[in-house]
Amino acid sequence: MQETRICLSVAYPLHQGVHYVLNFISPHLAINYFLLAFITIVGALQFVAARHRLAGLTLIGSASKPTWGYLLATLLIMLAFVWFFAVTPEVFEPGLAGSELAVLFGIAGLCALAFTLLASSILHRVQHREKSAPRSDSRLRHEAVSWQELRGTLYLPEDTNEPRPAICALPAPSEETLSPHPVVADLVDEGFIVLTIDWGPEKEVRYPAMLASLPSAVAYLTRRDEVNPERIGALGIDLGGDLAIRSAGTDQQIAAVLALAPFLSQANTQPGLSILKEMSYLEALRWASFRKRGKLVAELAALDSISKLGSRPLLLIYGDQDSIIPAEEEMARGRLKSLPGEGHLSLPGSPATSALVARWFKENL
Amino acid sequence: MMALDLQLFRLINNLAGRNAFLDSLARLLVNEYFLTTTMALILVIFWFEGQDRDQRERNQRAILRALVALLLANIILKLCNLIYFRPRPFVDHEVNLLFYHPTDSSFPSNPATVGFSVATAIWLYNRRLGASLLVLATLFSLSRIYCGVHYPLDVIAGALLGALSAYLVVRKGGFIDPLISLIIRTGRRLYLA
Repeated sequence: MQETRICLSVAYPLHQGVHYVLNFISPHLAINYFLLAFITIVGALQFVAARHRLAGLTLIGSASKPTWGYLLATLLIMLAFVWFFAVTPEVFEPGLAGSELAVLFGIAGLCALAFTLLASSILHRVQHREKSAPRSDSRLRHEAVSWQELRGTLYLPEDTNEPRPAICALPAPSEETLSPHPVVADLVDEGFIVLTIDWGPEKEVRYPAMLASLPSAVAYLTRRDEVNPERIGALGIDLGGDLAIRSAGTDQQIAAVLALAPFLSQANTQPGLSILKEMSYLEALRWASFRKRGKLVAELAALDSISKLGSRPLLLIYGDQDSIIPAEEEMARGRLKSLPGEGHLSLPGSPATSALVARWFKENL
Repeated sequence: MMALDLQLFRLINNLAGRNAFLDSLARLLVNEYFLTTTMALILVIFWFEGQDRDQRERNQRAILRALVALLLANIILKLCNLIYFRPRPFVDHEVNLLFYHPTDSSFPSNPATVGFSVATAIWLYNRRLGASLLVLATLFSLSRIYCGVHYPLDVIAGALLGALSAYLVVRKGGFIDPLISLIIRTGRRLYLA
């Protein structure tokens, strides 16, 4: 019987009469080895997802349940080897050499990685859709604000008979708007007037134009009768936190600043693999699509502005599970609070954060 | 030297065919698929290992250097094969053969070269994982003698060639650092490093 051969043509001569050729021996062997490599690499990635709690890699739904991840990894790897040796008699015949093995393993690795990232993203999306029920702000008294360049929403407590402290809230520019947001509702419940600033489309977020937003919001608030102009604070989330600190550094009318997970340093905008602890791969790519983030953090240089706040109250809050910004780096700088169990994405929406923010502003504004 | 090599070969190879379990285990270890794939999977897992970015980067550098060491060792091995051909043990002697008849040169052992180049490079960065890989590389090499396809000297030469390539790449291969940094930076941008 004539042996079936797959040859990727003669590549390059190494020596007279010696040619280096990729020879996959038989399609059956090559395909089986490819499948073995594919399945075992998916298994290895599940081991990695379980070990490092990587939500962006897990195929079992929850990265917080590592036992299932380890079990899936073990099953995939063991069954793949058993299957391969059971159905591939060519294993004990002249077979694939190192170069063919490397090529097949490399291609299988890329396919396994792409499959895992995509499948995990789809799973993550389905689960996230089930879990996230947006909190309505319809019960809150609010009005749309459009004043000069300023766009946003003003939330008012029920009782505004006497002037109230007010807070300008800056979301992350990639979120566009902070309404509705649990932290806003809790602040209004505590009697604060909250003006949430809308960024509009990401592409329109620019430095230094963005520096005008907070002073503009403060100017608007001081014109309102319901607002006590001596008690205006700033709340910023993510990059909005950097902007809040920077603006407060030059605007003495801002009496207190609270920043939720600000970047402070450009290096923190490149989290690498750790980002997959909090989001799926497709979400991470979307997060990365806001390319100006690193540049804006560097331009805002919020860390330099902290000293300009003087004795005015400042609090930085990070989640201790924040996989994007390592809070411990900033811990030594003081004026920092770490919330247990919260990540970069979950921090702003957490009830514990809302309660802490409301309590802190009540004590410091 | 060759007599000693043959004596040692006989000592190990004569164990074959006496114990069905040992023979099965050797056949599992001796083929090109099981241990090479296992070692590659360990490297895949090691790529993601580390508590922070710096630790991960160190591990990733180790892996990339191990791959370069593997490449260098293979180039040297091919050159050795071009200038010196040593027949397999079963060609000149009666042996207990548990594997197919490879036709390429017996010296130096290809599996030993591959296994020891990767294991040594990792060992130079991470003693614990490196030691585990060295155990796997040793098992891979011993199984080749047990199954009758390599002399001990082939394996020792392969192991030395692999280890030397790893040492050269890890300790003296600073010139490949820019390429390694580029790969890691690209991986980080893609959230894969």
